[in-house]
Amino acid sequence: MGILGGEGFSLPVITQTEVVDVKITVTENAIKQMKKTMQGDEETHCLVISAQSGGCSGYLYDMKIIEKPEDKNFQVQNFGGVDVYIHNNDSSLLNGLELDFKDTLMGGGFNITNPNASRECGCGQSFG
Amino acid sequence: MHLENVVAVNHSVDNMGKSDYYIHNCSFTLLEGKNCLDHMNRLVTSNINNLKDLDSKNTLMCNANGRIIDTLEIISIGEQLLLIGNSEMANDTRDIIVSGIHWNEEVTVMNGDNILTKLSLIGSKSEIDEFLSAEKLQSKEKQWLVFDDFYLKRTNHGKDSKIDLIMKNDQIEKFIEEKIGLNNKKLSRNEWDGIRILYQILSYNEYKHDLLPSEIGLDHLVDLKKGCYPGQEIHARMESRGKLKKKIMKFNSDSDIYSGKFLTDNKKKINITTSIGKSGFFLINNIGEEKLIIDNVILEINELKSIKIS
Repeated sequence: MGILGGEGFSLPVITQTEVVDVKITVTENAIKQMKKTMQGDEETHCLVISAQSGGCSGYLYDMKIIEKPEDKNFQVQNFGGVDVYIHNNDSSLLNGLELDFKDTLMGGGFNITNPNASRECGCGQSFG
Repeated sequence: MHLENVVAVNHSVDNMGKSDYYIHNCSFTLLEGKNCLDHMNRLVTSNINNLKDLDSKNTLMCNANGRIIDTLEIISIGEQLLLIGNSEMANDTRDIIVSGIHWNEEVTVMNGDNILTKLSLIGSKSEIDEFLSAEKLQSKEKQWLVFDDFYLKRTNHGKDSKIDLIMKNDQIEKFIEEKIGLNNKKLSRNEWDGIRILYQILSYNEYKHDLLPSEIGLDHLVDLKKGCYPGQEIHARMESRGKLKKKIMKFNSDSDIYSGKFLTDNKKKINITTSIGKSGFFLINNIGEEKLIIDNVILEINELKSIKIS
Protein backbone atom coordinates (compact mmCIF):
# COMPACT_ATOMS: atom_id res chain seq x y z
CA MET A 1 0.00 0.00 0.00
CA GLY A 2 2.75 2.50 0.94
CA ILE A 3 2.46 5.84 2.67
CA LEU A 4 0.48 7.60 -0.02
CA GLY A 5 -2.38 5.13 0.02
CA GLY A 6 -2.52 4.77 3.78
CA GLU A 7 -5.68 5.39 5.75
CA GLY A 8 -5.96 8.82 7.27
CA PHE A 9 -3.13 10.15 5.16
CA SER A 10 -3.84 13.39 3.36
CA LEU A 11 -1.79 16.31 2.11
CA PRO A 12 -2.79 19.97 1.82
CA VAL A 13 -4.29 20.74 -1.60
CA ILE A 14 -2.93 23.74 -3.49
CA THR A 15 -5.44 25.82 -5.41
CA GLN A 16 -5.10 28.83 -7.60
CA THR A 17 -6.38 31.87 -5.77
CA GLU A 18 -6.06 34.85 -8.10
CA VAL A 19 -9.36 35.53 -9.85
CA VAL A 20 -9.92 38.80 -11.73
CA ASP A 21 -12.96 40.21 -13.54
CA VAL A 22 -12.36 39.37 -17.16
CA LYS A 23 -12.94 41.86 -19.93
CA ILE A 24 -12.05 40.81 -23.47
CA THR A 25 -12.70 42.25 -26.91
CA VAL A 26 -13.84 40.36 -29.99
CA THR A 27 -13.63 41.91 -33.46
CA GLU A 28 -16.52 42.01 -35.92
CA ASN A 29 -14.73 39.47 -38.12
CA ALA A 30 -14.37 37.08 -35.18
CA ILE A 31 -18.05 37.44 -34.21
CA LYS A 32 -19.09 36.73 -37.81
CA GLN A 33 -16.92 33.61 -37.90
CA MET A 34 -18.11 32.38 -34.48
CA LYS A 35 -21.74 32.62 -35.65
CA LYS A 36 -20.90 30.85 -38.89
CA THR A 37 -19.23 28.00 -36.97
CA MET A 38 -22.06 27.70 -34.45
CA GLN A 39 -24.69 27.39 -37.23
CA GLY A 40 -27.57 28.77 -35.14
CA ASP A 41 -26.68 26.94 -31.88
CA GLU A 42 -25.88 30.19 -30.05
CA GLU A 43 -28.74 29.64 -27.57
CA THR A 44 -27.39 26.33 -26.30
CA HIS A 45 -23.67 26.54 -27.10
CA CYS A 46 -20.82 28.87 -26.26
CA LEU A 47 -17.18 29.48 -27.07
CA VAL A 48 -14.76 28.63 -24.24
CA ILE A 49 -11.36 30.30 -24.41
CA SER A 50 -8.87 28.79 -21.99
CA ALA A 51 -5.19 28.33 -21.23
CA GLN A 52 -3.26 25.25 -20.23
CA SER A 53 0.35 24.61 -19.40
CA GLY A 54 2.73 23.64 -22.17
CA GLY A 55 3.92 24.93 -25.49
CA CYS A 56 7.30 26.56 -26.03
CA SER A 57 6.46 29.64 -23.97
CA GLY A 58 4.70 28.14 -20.94
CA TYR A 59 0.98 28.19 -21.76
CA LEU A 60 -1.16 27.10 -24.68
CA TYR A 61 -4.41 28.70 -25.82
CA ASP A 62 -7.41 26.45 -26.25
CA MET A 63 -10.74 27.33 -27.91
CA LYS A 64 -13.73 25.04 -27.94
CA ILE A 65 -17.39 25.34 -28.87
CA ILE A 66 -19.34 23.31 -26.33
CA GLU A 67 -22.79 23.14 -24.74
CA LYS A 68 -23.08 25.91 -22.18
CA PRO A 69 -21.60 24.49 -18.96
CA GLU A 70 -23.43 24.90 -15.66
CA ASP A 71 -20.15 25.41 -13.84
CA LYS A 72 -20.36 28.65 -11.85
CA ASN A 73 -16.61 29.18 -12.11
CA PHE A 74 -16.98 30.64 -15.60
CA GLN A 75 -17.25 34.33 -16.45
CA VAL A 76 -19.50 35.03 -19.44
CA GLN A 77 -19.49 37.85 -21.96
CA ASN A 78 -21.84 38.16 -24.92
CA PHE A 79 -20.68 39.33 -28.36
CA GLY A 80 -23.38 39.77 -31.03
CA GLY A 81 -25.45 36.97 -29.52
CA VAL A 82 -22.54 34.55 -28.92
CA ASP A 83 -21.55 33.77 -25.32
CA VAL A 84 -17.81 33.58 -24.65
CA TYR A 85 -16.85 31.73 -21.46
CA ILE A 86 -13.57 32.11 -19.56
CA HIS A 87 -12.88 30.02 -16.47
CA ASN A 88 -11.90 31.79 -13.24
CA ASN A 89 -8.65 29.78 -13.19
CA ASP A 90 -7.64 31.44 -16.48
CA SER A 91 -8.93 34.89 -15.64
CA SER A 92 -5.58 36.47 -14.78
CA LEU A 93 -3.89 34.94 -17.83
CA LEU A 94 -6.57 35.89 -20.34
CA ASN A 95 -8.00 39.18 -19.07
CA GLY A 96 -7.75 41.90 -21.71
CA LEU A 97 -7.22 39.61 -24.69
CA GLU A 98 -8.46 40.48 -28.16
CA LEU A 99 -9.92 37.78 -30.39
CA ASP A 100 -9.73 38.41 -34.12
CA PHE A 101 -10.33 36.34 -37.23
CA LYS A 102 -8.26 36.64 -40.40
CA ASP A 103 -9.82 35.31 -43.56
CA THR A 104 -6.62 34.57 -45.45
CA LEU A 105 -5.27 31.38 -47.00
CA MET A 106 -1.87 31.79 -45.34
CA GLY A 107 -1.82 32.32 -41.57
CA GLY A 108 -5.59 32.72 -41.42
CA GLY A 109 -8.00 31.70 -38.68
CA PHE A 110 -8.69 32.91 -35.15
CA ASN A 111 -5.93 35.00 -33.71
CA ILE A 112 -5.42 36.00 -30.04
CA THR A 113 -3.56 39.10 -28.88
CA ASN A 114 -2.88 38.89 -25.17
CA PRO A 115 -1.59 41.89 -23.19
CA ASN A 116 -0.50 39.56 -20.37
CA ALA A 117 1.91 37.67 -22.62
CA SER A 118 5.52 38.75 -22.30
CA ARG A 119 6.43 36.39 -25.13
CA GLU A 120 4.67 34.31 -27.75
CA CYS A 121 5.64 31.31 -29.81
CA GLY A 122 6.00 31.73 -33.59
CA CYS A 123 2.95 29.54 -34.16
CA GLY A 124 0.79 31.90 -32.06
CA GLN A 125 -0.60 29.08 -29.91
CA SER A 126 1.77 29.43 -26.99
CA PHE A 127 2.41 32.37 -24.70
CA GLY A 128 4.17 33.07 -21.47
CA MET B 1 32.83 7.12 6.44
CA HIS B 2 35.56 9.73 6.61
CA LEU B 3 35.46 12.80 4.47
CA GLU B 4 39.07 12.29 3.34
CA ASN B 5 37.98 9.09 1.66
CA VAL B 6 35.41 10.95 -0.35
CA VAL B 7 37.87 13.51 -1.59
CA ALA B 8 40.08 10.95 -3.28
CA VAL B 9 38.62 10.66 -6.75
CA ASN B 10 38.94 6.94 -7.27
CA HIS B 11 38.36 5.92 -3.73
CA SER B 12 35.39 3.71 -3.06
CA VAL B 13 33.27 3.94 0.05
CA ASP B 14 33.96 0.26 0.75
CA ASN B 15 36.16 0.84 3.76
CA MET B 16 33.42 2.07 5.99
CA GLY B 17 32.15 -0.16 8.71
CA LYS B 18 28.47 0.36 8.22
CA SER B 19 26.18 2.20 5.87
CA ASP B 20 25.87 5.94 6.44
CA TYR B 21 22.69 7.87 5.85
CA TYR B 22 21.69 11.35 4.75
CA ILE B 23 18.38 13.13 5.21
CA HIS B 24 17.69 15.29 2.16
CA ASN B 25 16.24 18.75 2.10
CA CYS B 26 13.92 18.35 -0.88
CA SER B 27 10.38 19.22 -1.85
CA PHE B 28 7.48 16.83 -2.38
CA THR B 29 4.49 17.49 -4.59
CA LEU B 30 1.77 14.93 -5.15
CA LEU B 31 -0.50 15.02 -8.19
CA GLU B 32 -3.62 12.97 -8.62
CA GLY B 33 -6.48 12.81 -11.07
CA LYS B 34 -6.89 11.06 -14.40
CA ASN B 35 -5.10 13.83 -16.35
CA CYS B 36 -2.10 14.35 -14.07
CA LEU B 37 0.33 12.48 -16.32
CA ASP B 38 -0.69 14.44 -19.44
CA HIS B 39 -0.53 17.68 -17.52
CA MET B 40 2.99 17.05 -16.20
CA ASN B 41 4.15 15.76 -19.57
CA ARG B 42 3.41 19.16 -21.11
CA LEU B 43 5.66 20.85 -18.54
CA VAL B 44 8.84 18.79 -18.44
CA THR B 45 11.72 18.18 -20.84
CA SER B 46 11.42 14.40 -21.11
CA ASN B 47 8.58 12.14 -22.15
CA ILE B 48 6.93 10.68 -19.06
CA ASN B 49 3.85 9.29 -20.80
CA ASN B 50 5.03 5.70 -20.56
CA LEU B 51 5.64 5.62 -16.81
CA LYS B 52 4.31 2.42 -15.27
CA ASP B 53 3.45 1.88 -11.62
CA LEU B 54 6.53 2.50 -9.43
CA ASP B 55 8.60 3.61 -12.43
CA SER B 56 10.37 6.89 -12.07
CA LYS B 57 12.01 9.37 -14.39
CA ASN B 58 14.44 12.19 -13.76
CA THR B 59 13.49 15.26 -15.70
CA LEU B 60 13.77 19.05 -15.83
CA MET B 61 11.37 21.92 -15.66
CA CYS B 62 12.64 24.89 -17.67
CA ASN B 63 11.47 28.42 -18.39
CA ALA B 64 10.67 29.75 -21.87
CA ASN B 65 14.34 30.75 -22.23
CA GLY B 66 15.33 27.12 -21.79
CA ARG B 67 16.98 27.71 -18.38
CA ILE B 68 16.52 25.14 -15.64
CA ILE B 69 13.95 26.08 -13.00
CA ASP B 70 13.87 22.78 -11.14
CA THR B 71 15.01 19.19 -11.45
CA LEU B 72 12.41 16.57 -10.66
CA GLU B 73 12.24 12.88 -10.03
CA ILE B 74 8.72 11.85 -11.02
CA ILE B 75 7.50 8.60 -9.52
CA SER B 76 4.31 6.94 -10.69
CA ILE B 77 2.45 5.50 -7.72
CA GLY B 78 -0.88 3.99 -8.64
CA GLU B 79 -3.03 6.82 -9.96
CA GLN B 80 -0.72 9.42 -8.48
CA LEU B 81 2.53 11.13 -9.38
CA LEU B 82 5.01 11.99 -6.67
CA LEU B 83 7.41 14.78 -7.63
CA ILE B 84 10.66 15.17 -5.73
CA GLY B 85 12.31 18.50 -6.45
CA ASN B 86 14.58 21.09 -4.89
CA SER B 87 13.23 22.68 -1.73
CA GLU B 88 14.54 26.08 -2.83
CA MET B 89 12.24 26.00 -5.89
CA ALA B 90 9.26 24.23 -4.33
CA ASN B 91 6.81 27.14 -4.41
CA ASP B 92 7.76 28.30 -7.91
CA THR B 93 7.45 24.79 -9.26
CA ARG B 94 4.05 24.23 -7.67
CA ASP B 95 2.81 27.63 -8.91
CA ILE B 96 3.70 26.65 -12.47
CA ILE B 97 2.01 23.27 -12.12
CA VAL B 98 -1.20 24.71 -10.62
CA SER B 99 -1.54 27.73 -12.90
CA GLY B 100 -1.62 25.66 -16.08
CA ILE B 101 -4.31 23.13 -15.21
CA HIS B 102 -6.94 23.10 -17.96
CA TRP B 103 -10.45 23.79 -16.70
CA ASN B 104 -11.69 20.51 -18.14
CA GLU B 105 -8.93 18.30 -16.72
CA GLU B 106 -8.87 16.44 -13.44
CA VAL B 107 -5.63 17.29 -11.67
CA THR B 108 -5.23 17.90 -7.95
CA VAL B 109 -1.93 19.24 -6.67
CA MET B 110 -0.88 18.60 -3.07
CA ASN B 111 2.02 19.84 -0.98
CA GLY B 112 4.00 17.11 0.75
CA ASP B 113 6.71 19.34 2.26
CA ASN B 114 7.08 18.96 6.03
CA ILE B 115 5.16 15.69 5.80
CA LEU B 116 7.39 13.48 3.66
CA THR B 117 11.14 12.95 3.82
CA LYS B 118 13.78 11.41 1.59
CA LEU B 119 16.58 9.53 3.26
CA SER B 120 19.53 7.94 1.45
CA LEU B 121 21.43 4.99 2.83
CA ILE B 122 24.94 4.79 1.37
CA GLY B 123 27.37 1.89 1.57
CA SER B 124 29.28 -0.75 -0.32
CA LYS B 125 27.23 -3.04 -2.55
CA SER B 126 27.65 -5.92 -0.10
CA GLU B 127 26.45 -3.83 2.83
CA ILE B 128 23.40 -2.70 0.89
CA ASP B 129 22.74 -6.31 -0.22
CA GLU B 130 22.92 -7.32 3.44
CA PHE B 131 20.43 -4.62 4.41
CA LEU B 132 18.00 -5.62 1.68
CA SER B 133 18.20 -9.35 2.34
CA ALA B 134 17.64 -8.76 6.06
CA GLU B 135 14.41 -7.05 5.05
CA LYS B 136 13.66 -9.85 2.54
CA LEU B 137 13.61 -7.33 -0.30
CA GLN B 138 14.57 -7.92 -3.90
CA SER B 139 15.29 -4.62 -5.47
CA LYS B 140 15.86 -4.03 -9.17
CA GLU B 141 18.19 -1.12 -9.71
CA LYS B 142 16.43 2.23 -10.23
CA GLN B 143 12.98 0.71 -9.65
CA TRP B 144 10.93 1.88 -6.69
CA LEU B 145 9.26 -0.68 -4.49
CA VAL B 146 6.93 -0.56 -1.54
CA PHE B 147 8.55 -1.61 1.71
CA ASP B 148 6.26 -1.52 4.76
CA ASP B 149 5.10 2.08 4.84
CA PHE B 150 8.03 3.33 2.77
CA TYR B 151 9.09 3.58 -0.84
CA LEU B 152 12.57 2.37 -1.66
CA LYS B 153 14.90 2.51 -4.67
CA ARG B 154 18.43 1.21 -5.11
CA THR B 155 21.04 2.84 -7.35
CA ASN B 156 24.55 1.48 -7.89
CA HIS B 157 27.56 3.80 -8.15
CA GLY B 158 30.66 1.78 -9.03
CA LYS B 159 31.51 -0.41 -6.04
CA ASP B 160 28.97 1.37 -3.88
CA SER B 161 25.23 1.49 -3.65
CA LYS B 162 22.68 4.01 -2.51
CA ILE B 163 19.19 3.29 -1.30
CA ASP B 164 16.71 6.15 -1.44
CA LEU B 165 13.78 5.89 0.94
CA ILE B 166 10.66 8.03 1.09
CA MET B 167 8.76 8.04 4.34
CA LYS B 168 6.66 10.22 6.57
CA ASN B 169 8.60 12.64 8.77
CA ASP B 170 7.31 11.08 11.93
CA GLN B 171 8.66 7.67 10.90
CA ILE B 172 12.31 8.71 10.54
CA GLU B 173 13.38 8.21 14.13
CA LYS B 174 11.81 4.78 14.38
CA PHE B 175 13.25 3.77 11.01
CA ILE B 176 16.78 4.79 11.98
CA GLU B 177 16.49 3.02 15.32
CA GLU B 178 15.01 -0.20 13.99
CA LYS B 179 16.31 -0.55 10.44
CA ILE B 180 19.61 1.30 10.21
CA GLY B 181 20.93 1.15 13.75
CA LEU B 182 21.90 3.97 16.03
CA ASN B 183 25.64 3.39 15.54
CA ASN B 184 25.49 4.34 11.90
CA LYS B 185 26.49 7.81 10.95
CA LYS B 186 24.20 10.61 9.89
CA LEU B 187 26.04 12.51 7.18
CA SER B 188 26.36 16.27 7.32
CA ARG B 189 25.58 18.47 4.32
CA ASN B 190 29.31 18.80 3.65
CA GLU B 191 29.83 15.04 3.75
CA TRP B 192 26.87 14.53 1.41
CA ASP B 193 28.44 17.09 -0.95
CA GLY B 194 31.56 14.92 -0.86
CA ILE B 195 29.52 11.92 -1.96
CA ARG B 196 27.83 13.99 -4.67
CA ILE B 197 31.20 14.98 -6.04
CA LEU B 198 32.38 11.37 -5.99
CA TYR B 199 29.24 10.02 -7.70
CA GLN B 200 28.81 13.11 -9.97
CA ILE B 201 25.40 14.03 -8.60
CA LEU B 202 24.46 17.67 -9.17
CA SER B 203 22.29 19.70 -6.82
CA TYR B 204 20.61 23.10 -6.52
CA ASN B 205 24.13 24.53 -5.97
CA GLU B 206 24.65 23.90 -9.68
CA TYR B 207 21.14 24.50 -11.10
CA LYS B 208 20.64 27.89 -9.51
CA HIS B 209 22.97 29.63 -11.96
CA ASP B 210 20.34 30.09 -14.69
CA LEU B 211 21.79 27.37 -16.91
CA LEU B 212 20.72 25.46 -19.99
CA PRO B 213 20.60 21.66 -19.54
CA SER B 214 23.48 21.18 -21.99
CA GLU B 215 25.70 23.53 -19.96
CA ILE B 216 25.68 21.12 -17.03
CA GLY B 217 25.66 17.90 -19.01
CA LEU B 218 21.96 17.14 -18.58
CA ASP B 219 21.14 16.77 -22.30
CA HIS B 220 20.08 13.20 -21.59
CA LEU B 221 17.09 14.57 -19.69
CA VAL B 222 15.88 16.51 -22.74
CA ASP B 223 13.75 14.81 -25.39
CA LEU B 224 13.43 17.06 -28.43
CA LYS B 225 11.13 14.58 -30.15
CA LYS B 226 8.38 14.67 -27.53
CA GLY B 227 6.79 17.89 -28.82
CA CYS B 228 6.55 21.33 -27.31
CA TYR B 229 7.40 22.07 -23.68
CA PRO B 230 8.60 25.34 -22.13
CA GLY B 231 12.14 25.95 -23.36
CA GLN B 232 12.00 23.46 -26.23
CA GLU B 233 12.66 26.03 -28.96
CA ILE B 234 15.86 27.17 -27.24
CA HIS B 235 17.04 23.60 -26.58
CA ALA B 236 16.49 22.67 -30.24
CA ARG B 237 18.43 25.74 -31.39
CA MET B 238 21.32 24.94 -29.03
CA GLU B 239 21.47 21.40 -30.36
CA SER B 240 21.54 22.47 -33.99
CA ARG B 241 24.19 25.14 -33.37
CA GLY B 242 26.25 22.84 -31.16
CA LYS B 243 28.12 25.67 -29.48
CA LEU B 244 28.39 25.65 -25.72
CA LYS B 245 29.58 28.63 -23.80
CA LYS B 246 29.59 27.22 -20.29
CA LYS B 247 30.62 23.82 -19.03
CA ILE B 248 30.55 22.08 -15.66
CA MET B 249 33.68 20.27 -14.51
CA LYS B 250 35.17 18.67 -11.44
CA PHE B 251 38.37 19.79 -9.70
CA ASN B 252 40.83 18.37 -7.21
CA SER B 253 43.51 20.46 -5.55
CA ASP B 254 46.22 20.24 -2.89
CA SER B 255 44.89 23.23 -0.94
CA ASP B 256 41.41 24.22 0.05
CA ILE B 257 39.32 26.37 -2.28
CA TYR B 258 35.71 27.07 -1.41
CA SER B 259 32.59 28.02 -3.37
CA GLY B 260 32.50 31.38 -5.12
CA LYS B 261 33.57 33.22 -8.24
CA PHE B 262 37.28 33.42 -9.03
CA LEU B 263 39.62 34.75 -11.68
CA THR B 264 42.39 32.35 -12.59
CA ASP B 265 46.00 33.38 -13.27
CA ASN B 266 45.27 33.38 -17.01
CA LYS B 267 42.18 35.58 -16.45
CA LYS B 268 39.54 32.85 -16.83
CA LYS B 269 36.38 33.38 -14.82
CA ILE B 270 35.33 30.30 -12.90
CA ASN B 271 32.42 29.73 -10.57
CA ILE B 272 32.93 27.03 -7.95
CA THR B 273 29.39 25.82 -7.26
CA THR B 274 30.18 23.05 -4.76
CA SER B 275 33.35 22.53 -2.77
CA ILE B 276 34.39 20.39 0.15
CA GLY B 277 37.80 22.06 0.17
CA LYS B 278 40.07 20.04 -2.06
CA SER B 279 37.41 18.79 -4.43
CA GLY B 280 34.31 20.18 -6.08
CA PHE B 281 32.31 21.22 -9.14
CA PHE B 282 32.86 24.42 -11.08
CA LEU B 283 31.41 26.24 -14.08
CA ILE B 284 33.70 27.73 -16.68
CA ASN B 285 33.33 29.56 -20.01
CA ASN B 286 35.18 28.22 -23.08
CA ILE B 287 37.63 25.84 -21.41
CA GLY B 288 40.69 24.82 -23.41
CA GLU B 289 43.79 22.81 -22.59
CA GLU B 290 45.16 25.41 -20.21
CA LYS B 291 46.09 24.90 -16.55
CA LEU B 292 43.83 26.59 -14.03
CA ILE B 293 45.58 28.27 -11.12
CA ILE B 294 43.85 30.31 -8.40
CA ASP B 295 46.02 32.11 -5.83
CA ASN B 296 48.91 29.68 -6.51
CA VAL B 297 46.63 26.64 -6.11
CA ILE B 298 46.66 24.37 -9.16
CA LEU B 299 43.32 22.83 -10.03
CA GLU B 300 43.47 19.34 -11.48
CA ILE B 301 40.39 19.31 -13.69
CA ASN B 302 38.28 16.38 -14.85
CA GLU B 303 35.43 16.05 -17.30
CA LEU B 304 32.16 14.87 -15.78
CA LYS B 305 30.78 11.71 -17.29
CA SER B 306 27.42 10.16 -16.50
CA ILE B 307 26.06 13.14 -14.59
CA LYS B 308 23.13 12.44 -12.28
CA ILE B 309 20.58 14.61 -10.54
CA SER B 310 19.62 12.35 -7.63
